[in-house]
Amino acid sequence: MTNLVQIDPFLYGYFLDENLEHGERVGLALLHAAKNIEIRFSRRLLPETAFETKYGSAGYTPSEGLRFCNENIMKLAEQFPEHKETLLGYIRELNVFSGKARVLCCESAEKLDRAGAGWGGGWGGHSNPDYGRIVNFGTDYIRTIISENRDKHPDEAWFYRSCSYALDAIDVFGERYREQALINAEKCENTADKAFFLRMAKAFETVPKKPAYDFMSAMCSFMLIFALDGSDSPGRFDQYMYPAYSKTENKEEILDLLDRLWDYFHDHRSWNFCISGSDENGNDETNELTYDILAMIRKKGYNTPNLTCRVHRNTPDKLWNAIVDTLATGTGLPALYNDDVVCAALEKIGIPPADSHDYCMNGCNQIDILGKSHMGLEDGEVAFAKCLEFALHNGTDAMSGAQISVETGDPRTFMTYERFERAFMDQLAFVTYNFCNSANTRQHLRGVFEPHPLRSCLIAGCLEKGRDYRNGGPLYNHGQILAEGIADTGDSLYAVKKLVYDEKKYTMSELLDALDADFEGYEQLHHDFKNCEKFGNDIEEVDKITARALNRFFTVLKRNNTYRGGVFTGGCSTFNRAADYGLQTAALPNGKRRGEPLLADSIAATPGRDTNGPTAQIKSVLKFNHTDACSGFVFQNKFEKKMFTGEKGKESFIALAKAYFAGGGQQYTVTVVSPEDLLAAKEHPENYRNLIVRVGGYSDYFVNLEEELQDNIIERTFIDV
Amino acid sequence: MKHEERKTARRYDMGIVCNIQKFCIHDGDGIRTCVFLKGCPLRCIWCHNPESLEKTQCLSFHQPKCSSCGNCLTVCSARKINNGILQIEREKCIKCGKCATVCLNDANELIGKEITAQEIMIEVMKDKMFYDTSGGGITITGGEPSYQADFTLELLSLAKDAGISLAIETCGAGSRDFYKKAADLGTTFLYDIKCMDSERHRKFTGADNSHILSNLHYLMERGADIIIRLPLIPDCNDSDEDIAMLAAFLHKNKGRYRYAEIMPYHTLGIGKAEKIGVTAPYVHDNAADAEISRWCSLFVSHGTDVRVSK
Repeated sequence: MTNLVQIDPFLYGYFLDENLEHGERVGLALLHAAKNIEIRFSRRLLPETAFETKYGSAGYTPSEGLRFCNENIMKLAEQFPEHKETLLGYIRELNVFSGKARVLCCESAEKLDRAGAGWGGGWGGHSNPDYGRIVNFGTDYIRTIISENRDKHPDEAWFYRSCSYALDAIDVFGERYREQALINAEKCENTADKAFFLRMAKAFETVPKKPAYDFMSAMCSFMLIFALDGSDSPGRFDQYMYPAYSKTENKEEILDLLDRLWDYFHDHRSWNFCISGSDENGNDETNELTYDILAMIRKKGYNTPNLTCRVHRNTPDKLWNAIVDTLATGTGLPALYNDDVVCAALEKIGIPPADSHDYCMNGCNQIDILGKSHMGLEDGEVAFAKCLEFALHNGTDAMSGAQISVETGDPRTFMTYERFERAFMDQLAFVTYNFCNSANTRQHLRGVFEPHPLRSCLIAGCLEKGRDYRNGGPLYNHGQILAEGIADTGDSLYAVKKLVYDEKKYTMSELLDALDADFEGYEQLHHDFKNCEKFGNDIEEVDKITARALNRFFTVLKRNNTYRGGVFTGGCSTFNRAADYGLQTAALPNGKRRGEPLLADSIAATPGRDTNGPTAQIKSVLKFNHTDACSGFVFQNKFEKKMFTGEKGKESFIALAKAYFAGGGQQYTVTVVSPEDLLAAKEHPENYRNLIVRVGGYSDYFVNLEEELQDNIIERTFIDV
Repeated sequence: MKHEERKTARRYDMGIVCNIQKFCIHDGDGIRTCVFLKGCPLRCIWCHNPESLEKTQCLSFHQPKCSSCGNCLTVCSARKINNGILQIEREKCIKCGKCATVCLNDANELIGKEITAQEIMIEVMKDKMFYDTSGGGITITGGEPSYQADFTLELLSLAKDAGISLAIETCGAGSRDFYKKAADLGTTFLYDIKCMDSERHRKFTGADNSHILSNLHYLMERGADIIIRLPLIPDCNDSDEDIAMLAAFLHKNKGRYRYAEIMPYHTLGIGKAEKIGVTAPYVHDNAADAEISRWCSLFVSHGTDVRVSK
């Protein structure tokens, strides 16, 4: 009979003693997994964790923690009938959990979620554990924190036991890698690889128990935690790795290790890597490792992990130049974050300057404090355009006809624009409140049912308070809800104000009939609404309305607390979800047709609606108050690759970015126009009216060019790539 | 000019403008806003902004965008639909622009807008924050800025008061007085030299170059900030001999201008000419890379460095 420990050591550990506290069982599970799961090395010989046995896996994911895949467990149960009952028992527990979640979540938020108005809670999110704690101090140091605090919280003894198991799991893993590296070195015929394995085995004699003594040992320590925690965001790597870096004389070895690391990232995907930044006194923290990393990005040309570079008013010119050279490779990396604004935003919600200056990015664009916070990444999203649709239809979902939001009145009866705007703001507040509420309910369930002892060891506050990372343990426990479709909503509000209330060219009835008919038979009306002034062109009136809508959202958010013990704050990054929200939204007064998969790109204009160049777009987005957004406030510009080839282009980009940041901009992403973009622009010029290209010493909008010239440029861009 | 003086001198502050383009980074220092004025004294056969030649408004009609819906027929008697295709009788067009307001496909556009210098400055100054970080400002181009000399000078002095960098892009055919006043304000000149041979200059542009070169000498003499631009047009002004003469001129005046840059011919103007109902007098493919390298090496062989605007 095959022992369960060989089939799935995680389940084995979990079922060792069913009478223990749930969290402690998770710690035991982790320890037994560390002892028994397959260990292996990446193609470039770095420690790599599979969380699998030869029979597959029950689907435990290290970053999410307790997340088993029903399907995998069923398969294992069939394969090993002798363990069927234990395995199915697990599914029962899991169902209790998810069943509870369903019952507890408020019904109203569920309905709004299904209609495409956003969502709240439901997944664990990314984190930035403090890798430096292991790399520079070692697990033994963390054990001293446990022993200093465990007696203060006698009721949480199980929590400290669970964390101790997690630390043991790390050490066991290190020891197993040491043994395996020796075995591999023995078998290895390639002398370089043999030497590498021996160096690694040597390093694991010291780490992860004790502090790293050079870059190699630091890297071994980092890789262990990184792989065990599911290859999540490495955070401020150039800062916590620098002590080891500065102790290493062999620069070639450092570059070799970075090269291996980048291949690992490429194979496994990692999330967000953060470099540079300033301390609370405004001193620049760029170091040699910062430049080595940028050089590695240029060398490798991979587009993962997402690279964040923190800039601020004292960022040296040398770093600016390295940034532009890296952007010129066309991977869209690094994304730039402005310390002066991000830290101010964090300080506004009560994070002291010493910690706000330790922020880094998490997942795609969310802000986190390295090793000190659970910032609810992401707790939810609110689709502004859908809220507007509710306001236009008195709380009815125009796609299904069902009344799912509050009644804010029939717009036909509104005598003033202000009344109409009020209806929208009320819808926005209602939807936002719902998703804060459901985020709290769902994340609370996670806090109780999915403890994470590994992260609890690596995030400040948890061991001191005796509370899990997911349950209010960290020093900072805020939440983040993202706004989607801001510009579409601002454009729509303005069009209603101008054409219905100010100029009275159309009545509200006519507009609503046209929207219901998806503009069919209302071509002139559609043309007028579509061509009305749009956000993103530095036009005061429309920008102001758009900013007002977002302000309202931030204000409503701050009135909601997170169950973890913080406040909700907001941000905006659309990822690729903008299209999905567009599909679920009916016709809008900005000219969008029913189900058109098109919504604003994060805080920027709706694609193709900004026709006045990047400076005007920047002026418009600076009408928002970026220090209200603690969750990443993404602004993206697309440039032709030529922009970054000449000195003048590079200088101009730096001046553009500096002006944006000096003006209060928080985040700036630059992407390079791809041939696919140009082909799409030829096909759908209306969505690409902002695309500037350069022809023979002359800049023009791509969509204005003759077909033949467009083809020339497309060809040229293909060659560039 | 002091503010009070300018107030009394402000008699010509209405100009006619094609468009205002922001974030221009290749027309002077830093990030700039280009103001394209309408009207030019020259008629270069290769002109890439044919819509800016006349000082009056003109109608641009983009046939491929037109769906022949007939909406414009309700406001215009100079149009008819023939075999399902909309046709415009240009000679009957009174440039009222009504077609542009009713066109659902944005195929019609009235080019040229009467506007005051103050209105332009409001638009230009919206980008002040970018001029501050880049050392940029306003570039007046066209058309030809000296063709609306008083208006251009008015704009320049307003921009000077606003503390931003000033530049004009000019063919050099304006009055000496214009260049003197512009230079007094501290303007950077993006100054075209099209051909050193006067007779052929007349053939290509409709005017000889003696006046143009004399203005250039004047500006060089008084130490103005000058960037020389050399529009090189295949089979027109790019013969070995032409380039030798240009190179000799540049060599002789070395140090009296900041740098010289080649503006290679491109075909952008052909489509624009079609849209305003005229035929481009010169048609050629975009200058090829090999062609551009040939020009550069010729300049180098004559001991002169030039940049290439790409």
